[in-house]
Amino acid sequence: MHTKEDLQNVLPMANEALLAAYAAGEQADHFVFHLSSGTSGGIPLLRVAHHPGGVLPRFRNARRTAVFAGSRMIRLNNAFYFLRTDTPPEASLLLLDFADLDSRAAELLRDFDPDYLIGSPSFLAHLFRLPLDPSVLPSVSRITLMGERSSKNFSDFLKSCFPDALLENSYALAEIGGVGISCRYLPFGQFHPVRNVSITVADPDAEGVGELVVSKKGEHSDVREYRTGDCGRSLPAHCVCGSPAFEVFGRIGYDYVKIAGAQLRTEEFERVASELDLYFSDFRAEARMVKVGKGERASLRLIVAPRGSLLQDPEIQALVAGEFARRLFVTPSKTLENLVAEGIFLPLRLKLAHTPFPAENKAVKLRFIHD
Amino acid sequence: MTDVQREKVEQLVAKVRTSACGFYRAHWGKAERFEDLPLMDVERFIATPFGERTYKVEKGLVKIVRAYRAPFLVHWSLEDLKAEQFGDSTGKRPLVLLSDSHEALEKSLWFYEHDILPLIGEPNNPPVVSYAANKYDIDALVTDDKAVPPFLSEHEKQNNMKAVAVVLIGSSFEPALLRRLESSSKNVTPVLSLPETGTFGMACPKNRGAKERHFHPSDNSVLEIKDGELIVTKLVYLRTPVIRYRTGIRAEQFASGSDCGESPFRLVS
Repeated sequence: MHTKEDLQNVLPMANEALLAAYAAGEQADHFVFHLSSGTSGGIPLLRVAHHPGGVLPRFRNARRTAVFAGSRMIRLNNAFYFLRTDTPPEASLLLLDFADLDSRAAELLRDFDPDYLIGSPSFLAHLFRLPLDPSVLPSVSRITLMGERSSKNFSDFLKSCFPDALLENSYALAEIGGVGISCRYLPFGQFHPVRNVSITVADPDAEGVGELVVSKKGEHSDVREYRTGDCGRSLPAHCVCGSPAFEVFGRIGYDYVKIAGAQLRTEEFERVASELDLYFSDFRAEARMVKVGKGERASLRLIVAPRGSLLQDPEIQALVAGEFARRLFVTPSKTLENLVAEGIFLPLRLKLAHTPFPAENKAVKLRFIHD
Repeated sequence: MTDVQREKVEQLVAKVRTSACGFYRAHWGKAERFEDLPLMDVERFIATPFGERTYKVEKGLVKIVRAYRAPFLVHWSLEDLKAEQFGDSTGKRPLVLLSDSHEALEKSLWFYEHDILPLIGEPNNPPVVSYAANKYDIDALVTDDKAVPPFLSEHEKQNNMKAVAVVLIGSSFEPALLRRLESSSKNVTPVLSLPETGTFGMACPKNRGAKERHFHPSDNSVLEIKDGELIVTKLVYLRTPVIRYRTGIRAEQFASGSDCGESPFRLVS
């Protein structure tokens, strides 16, 4: 099995072989570069991928596609597929950077009038904070979320903004490209492997949850057993559409933290936060092990961006911390409050953020802190 | 203007005048001769919605132009993009490193259209760009005056640029930067370009290394100098055609021709 570090050593030979094929006359538009950003930790990774016949069916019917992605290479790769796909003859593509989402973005997007939006959830979330009234995008009929884990809340928000639009989630890695795509029958966070991709799980726990391992077959550029750094599981039964499926929980140590026998998931934090959004608009959670006497206990700190002044009152802070712990499931059957009562976790600590959280490409809402 | 250029200009103006889109027609009024057509400027591009300055609809890339007081959209069809001219030093393994991401993506697509595999770089991360450039063993660098200095500082720590041709894109070229690039790289081709017009001029290859670079119009452009300002007409029927467009670039014609036999101009700071 290969980690990113392994690939760093293995890839140069594969890259050189492909670049030699390019130098020997194979068409340039059979190749794309993939470069991991390293934003989730670790080293960047450059990979040459060979896609002699690759098109993206998602571009086939779109006339005006807007792609929101932080990496130029990802935006270029979208353009690469857009060029090669048999689109309507008048199809146009607008590739947007985070820097494009300023106070004029709504006006420019209205001018472009996209019918298809592709983007990472944090980009699209930022877009709708501009503010941007979805009514200025009347033609949107399809949305594909890519690049990072989306929350169910955000997907529901998009559905409410664009009730007639087809909403898809995709799962992709910057260094590999597309891995999974949602379908109309799968619940949120579950995907079918895309063509030529197979998924296994490394080091699974009792629930089958472990690190997702991807193998991707290309004509000259196989990726074998690549450890993604993401947590998930294979689903035991095929989807009703007949295809195998897998579930993604997020980045290990970030979106998914195993601590003291509990499983902390960003999605679950977001669910509870949405129930308490009268009090705060956003949060960051930090989990750590702390020494208590001769032993250790798990500790969870929730930093929240308060709405109004309600949370300035210490009694309300305590109430909200208690409610959060009572509602947050940290195992399939137990809440944080249960594990506090059992002495496994310390009581939840709530802290107020004095300034809004910065808009980030990949907001890390939950993380394990190594003290 | 040569007879061939004159003919192309007249065909372009006639096509634009009879188009369903009235963007230029309203601006031109009753002016007939090319030389009498009122000059176009960026403010009219900004003030006019994208759809109201659309003369044709073809598959292509839309980009945001941010170089002015307000952003606006322009569109480049793949065919028009392919016809853009960047000189003969664009290499086979180029790195596209431009400060504006829309420009970088557009130039990268130009390479794909010319069957050349581009590596695109993020200028805010010189170590990663240098790492990738090294892995790709680049032979050309398409860049601008903002993006290239930090890249060079990083890349030249461990790499030699002697085998790398540089295409420097912009509307002005700092002599000190040109000298630095000319001394460290294989050759440097300054290319005059604005995001909304594309390329329209290029430094004369004959006076490479000279203290003052001479420029020629690109084959697809007609250039005039009015009151010291460079006015460009692209001889291509673009989505929003560029006809007698004020570039804001100060320039003056040389009284005598250059070594290459063309009549060059120079940029005035």
